[in-house]
Amino acid sequence: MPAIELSGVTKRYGEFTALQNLDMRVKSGEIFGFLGPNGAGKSTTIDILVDQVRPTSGEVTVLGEPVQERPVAVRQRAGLLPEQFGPLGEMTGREHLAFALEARGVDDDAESLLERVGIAHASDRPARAYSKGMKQRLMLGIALAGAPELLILDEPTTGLDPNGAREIRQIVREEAERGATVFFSSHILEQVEAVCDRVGILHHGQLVAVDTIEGLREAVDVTGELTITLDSTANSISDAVAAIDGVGTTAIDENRLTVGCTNRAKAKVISTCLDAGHSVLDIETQPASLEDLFAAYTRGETDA
Amino acid sequence: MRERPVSMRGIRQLARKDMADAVRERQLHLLCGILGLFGLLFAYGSHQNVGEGLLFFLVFLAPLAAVAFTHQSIVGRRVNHEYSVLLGLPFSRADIILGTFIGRTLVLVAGITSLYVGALIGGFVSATSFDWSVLAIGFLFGLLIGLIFVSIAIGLSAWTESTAVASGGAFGVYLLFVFQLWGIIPDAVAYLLHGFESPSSRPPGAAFFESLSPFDALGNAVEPFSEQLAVNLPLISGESTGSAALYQEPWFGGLVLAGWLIVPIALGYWRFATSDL
Repeated sequence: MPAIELSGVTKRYGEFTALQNLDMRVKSGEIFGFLGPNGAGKSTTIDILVDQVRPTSGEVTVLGEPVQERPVAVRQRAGLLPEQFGPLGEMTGREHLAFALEARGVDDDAESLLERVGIAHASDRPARAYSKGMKQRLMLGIALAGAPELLILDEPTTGLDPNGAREIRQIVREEAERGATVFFSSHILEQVEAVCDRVGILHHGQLVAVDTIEGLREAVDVTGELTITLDSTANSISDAVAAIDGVGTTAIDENRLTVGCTNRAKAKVISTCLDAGHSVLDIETQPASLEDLFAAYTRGETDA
Repeated sequence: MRERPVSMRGIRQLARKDMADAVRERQLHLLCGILGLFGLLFAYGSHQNVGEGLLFFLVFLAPLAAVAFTHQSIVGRRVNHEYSVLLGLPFSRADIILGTFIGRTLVLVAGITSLYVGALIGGFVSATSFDWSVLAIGFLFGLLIGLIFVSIAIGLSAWTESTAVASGGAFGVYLLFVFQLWGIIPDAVAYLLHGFESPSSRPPGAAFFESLSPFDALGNAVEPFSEQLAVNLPLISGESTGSAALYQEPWFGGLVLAGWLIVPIALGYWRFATSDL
């Protein structure tokens, strides 16, 4: 049974189409990265998953429950970190988590949750006075309360410093190890790349790609970068390298040669250097960044 | 299989939260303080008919307090994105509306109780005698008219996405009755239909329409319990005709009160439950 299944989901706001015939399946137990620029329809999709927004047409099933008929059952079994959230009245951090635990009917102590999301030091202050990052952590705590089977996290790392973002990724990994499915939306590609098993790319309300990160890289033979450090100046071979099929750019800095090329061309670049009688001292490669992948997909979509 | 739209557990937790919000925001202290002090001074200063006097003021104060402390209760939390969080937890939209209604009801009960406790203390100090049955009937009907305005304010608050519409609407409805504009509506409609001229006689159904006012209904419904309380009630638009029409019967008044209590919140819920948050 898939953890999340959307089929033919369309959402219109008047003339504006936020989601267009969206089909998507998230497998049970995976960490699924939901990528797209702001305004692509990510939050609309997430709001539909917990029945805060109703689709214009289409079917939505979460953990086997049809969300529109059984929204409370979904909310019992899935934890949500919404994109926009407000603290509950004047409650303190501890009161928030105690409230969430009570709502899920769990007898746990709020203390361990407070520590887990890193706000134990502020637990007795009103959450309204928290910084953006602390509120984000508190809301993650609410999502985690009662160890739900599915975590739906909408931009969980916004408002956090790199350290905080790493802590969130660590929690996501721990939750996945426990057996939870994690659905994680972001417009920051590195955040998703670091933890996700699979990625879906949403653009203008349509899913333009779903694949593993590896698979995506193979599917689109996008330009990566290769930096070769030679024993002497690289000037003499730059023309030969530039002539290789698949090489886009070359740049020379003393004895360092940086080549922008397809993955397939990388070996040919290195052998060209060796054939010219150079010794290769060091090779660094940067895989195609998700940013490049993303750009390739969405550009293709706009051209079509 | 569609799940049940309400759960007692959810309603109870949300009602407790709503009440706790009123305590944390000092709303409850303010309401109880003002009404308690008012009751104390009023009973201390008047030496007779305290029960009638209290209900007279409660007819103005309970709806005002209800509107003031309720008009933002749904829409305010909606624009603050509090419901994005609550509807990530196992609550339904019906739980939210009913939980808020019960929470606000408890706040109002606490406020009106303070009024009466204050009055008892003031009356005790000044050695005033009380008619206990009039006090008890006044308490219940004062609470009822207050709850009707909780229902109106929650209904509007759940209906709209605009905090301004919610407050303007709720206070507008209150003023409609306080300025006794309700009874003019049939005449105004007749005036328009007659091409901006006053018709020679009152339009048919005008008296019936007046009886649909919650304040007229309150007067009609109170009558069999205490005639003395009924004649002293303010804000009644219909004139008492010697022979009571069917719609001036107490049971009809009770029906109208029940309608005002249920219909606004039901309409608000319907809109809230079918819209995107």
